[in-house]
Amino acid sequence: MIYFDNAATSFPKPSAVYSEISRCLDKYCGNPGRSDHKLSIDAARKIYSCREKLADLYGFSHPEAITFTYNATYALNMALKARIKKGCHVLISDIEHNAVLRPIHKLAEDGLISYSIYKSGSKEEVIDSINKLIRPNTSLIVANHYSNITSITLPIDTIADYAAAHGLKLICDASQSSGVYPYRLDTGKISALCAPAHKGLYGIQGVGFIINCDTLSGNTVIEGGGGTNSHDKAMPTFLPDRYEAGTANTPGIAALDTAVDFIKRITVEEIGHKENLLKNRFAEGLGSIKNIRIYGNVLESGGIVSFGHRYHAPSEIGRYLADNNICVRSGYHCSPLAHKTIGSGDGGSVRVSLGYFNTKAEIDKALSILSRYN
Amino acid sequence: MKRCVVAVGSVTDAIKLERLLSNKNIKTELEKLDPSLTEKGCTYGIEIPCSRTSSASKALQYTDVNYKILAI
Repeated sequence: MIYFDNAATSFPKPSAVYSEISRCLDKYCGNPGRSDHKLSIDAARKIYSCREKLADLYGFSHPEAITFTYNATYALNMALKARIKKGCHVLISDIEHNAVLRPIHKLAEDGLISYSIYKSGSKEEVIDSINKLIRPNTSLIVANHYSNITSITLPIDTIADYAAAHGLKLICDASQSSGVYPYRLDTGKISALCAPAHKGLYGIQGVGFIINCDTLSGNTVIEGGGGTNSHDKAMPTFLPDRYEAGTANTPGIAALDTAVDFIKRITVEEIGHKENLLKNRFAEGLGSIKNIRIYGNVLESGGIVSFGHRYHAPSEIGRYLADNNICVRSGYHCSPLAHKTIGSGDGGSVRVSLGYFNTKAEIDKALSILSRYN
Repeated sequence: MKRCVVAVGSVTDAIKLERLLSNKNIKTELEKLDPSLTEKGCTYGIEIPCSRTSSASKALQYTDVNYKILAI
């Protein structure tokens, strides 16, 4: 089998990740932060260790301001709703995932906020678009750093500079860029960064997180027990407890803790470089196959190539590749805005998303199989 | 026998302060505190030798975590 669906969930994981999940379940999977016994305290220590490693990976000095969620969608919902005030105007990009578009649209439908969509492109084009849309009540920008359907990226540092200069909050969706982009969040220009564990960080499904760079104690989305301040009917005001109600996914966080060790050992730069090389090889080969159309600029960062076929729907190509033991994803990838931006048309696209464990031989084999598709 | 405990708001803060104290060679033991010790209910603390409370205060002087050193 050839696995090219890493933008949905990376596979395989580093072998140490599988071992640590098993060790966690066997040795220290008490309920973290609830009890006095060793299993509970060891689980809490492992979770704190993961906060520290993530803080280090993202160049951020406050591990306790990292809150764990169940995926990036939860993280984005929570980060958005903590930072939105009634009557405010929000700017989102034209490559946002439904994890941002849907909650923003719902808030607008409920009459709480208004929003506008700025264009992706070069630094100048993005800032020009934001400048044309900004209003006196604009308080927040959301930026999907790396698109989940093509290699389109947003100039996050430029947007961060703009947000800081205009007193705006900035939420970065780092779902696809985490693990391949070297963030340095201590500059303080990004208010919150959201990501899942199970994509480029090589953790497992069921864990996401928010790095609350502004250490904001804002509105909560989920309320409940956290093991502290039990007599208080309100959620704690301090982080991470304010946003972490209910039992955490300790085995998933333990997996992420180990996965981050793997990333630090290989380095974010090396992983990104390898994915780019593989992507370029695939895109180059794909470009020479008749009737294939590649969407977006494949020269930008990220290990994703989206394409279509002149005569066949993306779902047909996806099925053909699955029949040949090649795992890709076809359709709209929960990103109708981005598909509209790249002009993919009916049926979306076929997405090939590469990971660190893919090889040149796999690229060449997939290209050979694709070239036989008529 | 009297024990001395650095009481904090959460297990996360307790682990954070435990690191700072350990770095100063202060012996620590993380524990869940009796809820009656605080107004808000369940919380965590770090037991330290009562002879080291001054050193503990010094080790924690720059932390942003709210804490109290209790003799219980």
